[in-house]
Amino acid sequence: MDNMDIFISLFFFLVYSTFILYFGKYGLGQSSHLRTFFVANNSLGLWASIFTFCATWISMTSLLAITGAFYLEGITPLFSVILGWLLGASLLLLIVNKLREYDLLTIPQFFAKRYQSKLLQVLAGFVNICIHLIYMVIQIYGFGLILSYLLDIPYLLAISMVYLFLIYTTFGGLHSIARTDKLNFYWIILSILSLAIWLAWKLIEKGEFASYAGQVLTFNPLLLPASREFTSSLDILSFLSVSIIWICGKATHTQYLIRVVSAKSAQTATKMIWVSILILSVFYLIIAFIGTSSGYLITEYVDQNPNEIILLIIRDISNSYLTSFIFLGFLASSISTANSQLLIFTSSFSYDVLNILFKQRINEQHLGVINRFLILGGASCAFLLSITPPSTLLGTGSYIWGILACTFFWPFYGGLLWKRATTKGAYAAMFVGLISCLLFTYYDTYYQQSQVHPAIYGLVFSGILFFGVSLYSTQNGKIDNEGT
Amino acid sequence: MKGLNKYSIEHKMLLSFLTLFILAMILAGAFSYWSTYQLYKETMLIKFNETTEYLHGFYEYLLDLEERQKITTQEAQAQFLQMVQSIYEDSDIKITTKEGAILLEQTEGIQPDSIFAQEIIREEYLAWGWLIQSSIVINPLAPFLIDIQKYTIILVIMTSMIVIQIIIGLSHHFAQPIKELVESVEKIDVNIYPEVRLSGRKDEIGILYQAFSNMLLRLKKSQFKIMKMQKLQKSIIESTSFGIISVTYPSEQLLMNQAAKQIFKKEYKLFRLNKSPIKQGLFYKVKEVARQTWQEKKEQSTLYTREHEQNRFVVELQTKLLYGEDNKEIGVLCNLQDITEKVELEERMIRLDRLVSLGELAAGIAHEIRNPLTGIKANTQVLQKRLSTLEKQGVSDATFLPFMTRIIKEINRLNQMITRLLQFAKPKESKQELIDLSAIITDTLPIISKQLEERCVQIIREEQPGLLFLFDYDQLKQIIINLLLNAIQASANNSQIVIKTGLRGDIVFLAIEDFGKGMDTQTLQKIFNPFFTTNPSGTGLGLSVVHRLVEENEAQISVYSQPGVGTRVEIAKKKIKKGDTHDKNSDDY
Repeated sequence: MDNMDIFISLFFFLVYSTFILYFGKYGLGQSSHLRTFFVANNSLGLWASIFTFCATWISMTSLLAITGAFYLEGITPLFSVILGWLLGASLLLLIVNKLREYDLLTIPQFFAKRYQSKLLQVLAGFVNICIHLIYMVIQIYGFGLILSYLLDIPYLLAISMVYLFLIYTTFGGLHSIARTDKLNFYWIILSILSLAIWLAWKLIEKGEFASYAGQVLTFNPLLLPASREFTSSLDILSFLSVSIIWICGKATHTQYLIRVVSAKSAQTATKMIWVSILILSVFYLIIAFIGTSSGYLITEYVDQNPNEIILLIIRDISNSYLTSFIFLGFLASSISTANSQLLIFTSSFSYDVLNILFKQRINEQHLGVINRFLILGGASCAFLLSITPPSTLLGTGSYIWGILACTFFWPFYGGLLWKRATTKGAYAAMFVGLISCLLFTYYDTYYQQSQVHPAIYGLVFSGILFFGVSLYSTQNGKIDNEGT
Repeated sequence: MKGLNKYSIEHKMLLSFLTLFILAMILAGAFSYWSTYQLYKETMLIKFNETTEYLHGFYEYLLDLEERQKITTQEAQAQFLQMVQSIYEDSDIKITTKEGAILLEQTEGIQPDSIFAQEIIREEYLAWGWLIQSSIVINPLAPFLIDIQKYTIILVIMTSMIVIQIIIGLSHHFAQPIKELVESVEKIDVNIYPEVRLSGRKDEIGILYQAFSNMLLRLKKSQFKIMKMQKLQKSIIESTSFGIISVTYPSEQLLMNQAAKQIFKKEYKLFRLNKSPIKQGLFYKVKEVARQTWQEKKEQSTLYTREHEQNRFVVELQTKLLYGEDNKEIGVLCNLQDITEKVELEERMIRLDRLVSLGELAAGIAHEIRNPLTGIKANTQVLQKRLSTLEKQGVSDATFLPFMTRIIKEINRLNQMITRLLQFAKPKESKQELIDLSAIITDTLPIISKQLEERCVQIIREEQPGLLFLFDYDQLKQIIINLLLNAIQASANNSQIVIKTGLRGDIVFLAIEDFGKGMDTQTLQKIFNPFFTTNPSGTGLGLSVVHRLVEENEAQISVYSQPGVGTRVEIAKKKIKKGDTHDKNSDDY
């Protein structure tokens, strides 16, 4: 990287930072109440909701890991990962109206309202805290990688800079995040399009577009070796188990559910989901093109860390302006996801755990101050953990979704869509789902790798217990309150 | 919260702090770069000088060896060139002979590739006839400097962002409570007192919040008192039966109370005015009088009367000037009073007085006439008898007898009139009881059947069954007889008379309607006067007696008539409700 490149990169970084400062400021005046801070006073319009939904969705997993997977495995991830994710998002359509009737501030609060159990709220809050902390680590790791590539600085210095963006944008609550997500969304999309156009131009320049297309279309995923990234599917059982976990995990992911709540109406939320699925479908097709075309054009990175392949390819672009612009787009995606997760981490910690455990001593004003400290604390914990990041982003993401699916899927969707769901059923499903998921994942990781996703056992157990215990307790005349 | 207003405190604080900070950071950055560059330059110069001096020392050492003949000149020159090549790394050097031949040229150092680059050249002539030209380029954009400054710039950006975020946070911390306070103040309106959430701060802003909150509380209390008073005033104005209208000038804006609206509505209903009564009727009159009052600055008092067919509407209108805060006229206050009933009552009272006086007079005369009339009648009857006896004896002329009969008949008629007069002047005390209207009509009709047959008049009864009047039975019968006789008299042969009873609201009425010749307005006004009659053979006392009896029984009589169409006489009395009478059998009549 020569001198001018550094200055260009620094210039782009400065421009992005200035934009973030400007857009993030808006939320500071909107964060005086918990409802405003956590769910933007349930007032987000259609496009604001779409921008924040999509910007939060497009994370380091999508940009680094999935692109790397496309590079290595061809279009297989479209079926083994992306399809499951989008189907999971479409499940949200089933519960929009019912979920909004509960008038929630946080998603764990649903369990308290539906099942009249504060313990379930605390448990859900605790799981949320752990999951989102790990997820933040993935984003910060991605942030560090990108920034170290962009500015040619050590990884540790790069990840320490995450504070600049993360804390600032989260301090203003969901309003601030939604505003900065608008900028992030545009930048991500433009950078992805720029990269795709550059690769397409390279293919055309070399006269190999037809050859590339032929190779992609005749790609046989069954010829690939098994991958612990859960992107390759060797057999139908493996494919189904992984897909089910992706679907159930995405469908119960708090950061998407909270955007259903924060939309100004059920109609807006429904439209948000439809349009977002459409945008994301196009987005993943572009990502598939980027991954596969770069895999076709540049073959020397096959042995590299899959998460860094796309960064190496971007670095190879001869135009420093384009390189910096694309890198900043990737950086924007990590920030937009991380700040959303930090807000969920904070809301779960303060409202679902501390507020329940110390209700007598905490009022709304206290919670406002506590939230700020938790943002600092959460960001710091995630920063410390990201010093030694996970080796595989997609694998870690898959385990996180596994825990979400096992713990929340049945009590959440069952509670909303099945009238006979009982508190006991929810208890059994959540506890057994979580514990069995952790045990099977541990066994799978350290003892014997299973052909199917380990979390599938937890999901099955959780479902059986949820329906079984609910029906049993209903037959014994103990029908729970249905909530609102 | 809306976007930042460029004149807001937060904006001003942000701008000034940011400007100061950015200036400071630029200065600090520039100074840092400049000092690093100076250090770099100094280091490079020292190194260059040291190299030059070292080379010079080596050259002197070689000369010394050459003088002592330890080495030859060629050997010394070769060693010198070897040394030059080994020690010049970052700078350029060129060695030429007297003849201009280049012995050595090394240009591996930095070229002056930018306008900021500075080249330092040293030249030295050696005893061997060689010219040594060494130079060094000091470039402010040297990669080494850039590499160092990259971290400086990153540090500056990081620090700037942190400081800017802190400034934004601090500005927000100071300005936000003031903004909220401003928003609260903007929301204040009549009846709207926004809740001011105390910021929980103990600084001047906290005190300001407390003071503002207290002020709002006091304002709320005062406003509540004012509202209460206004409500009371409004209630008084609205509940009065006087119509009150205020007209403010020059806008001529009108405000009126409910009673005034009712008065206008009444006129509209009675006379079926157009929907927009701007240029007609009372409304126009009020505006006209108000304008006159305003122009002349003089209070007015006038009567507004409107009559059409049977309807009458009389309003008393008074105007006064309205004064504003500075005792200056601001408009006119109009006071309206519907005095139609009052006027009618007065007229009735006058008529009653006149009737009473007339009755008393007539009774006195009648009483005085009756006694001699009794004597005249007795004597006439005696004379009649004697004449009859004489006639039988053939003494007298029989032609005198019919005259006697006629005299007695006239005396009887006179007596009958006197009886009626006395009845009119001093009717027997009414003894009210509950009377079934249909029953009394049925009882009365046979009495006048002869007159009906004579004129071939048909009675049509349109009665509502079960209606009761609290009335003196004989007097009501008398009233019905008198009214029917009048109706028969007014009707043409082979015509109809309608007897109607019914309930209108809480009023029970009995109406007798003929389709005879009718009366004009002037006649109508006189019909209750004693001795007023349009029938040459009538006494003019029938309707006077009816009127008197109606008054006696606390009922109302109304007459509607149109010449050539017919006449309707209506006796109305308020419906008797349970408890209004001592008759225990009565329920709701």
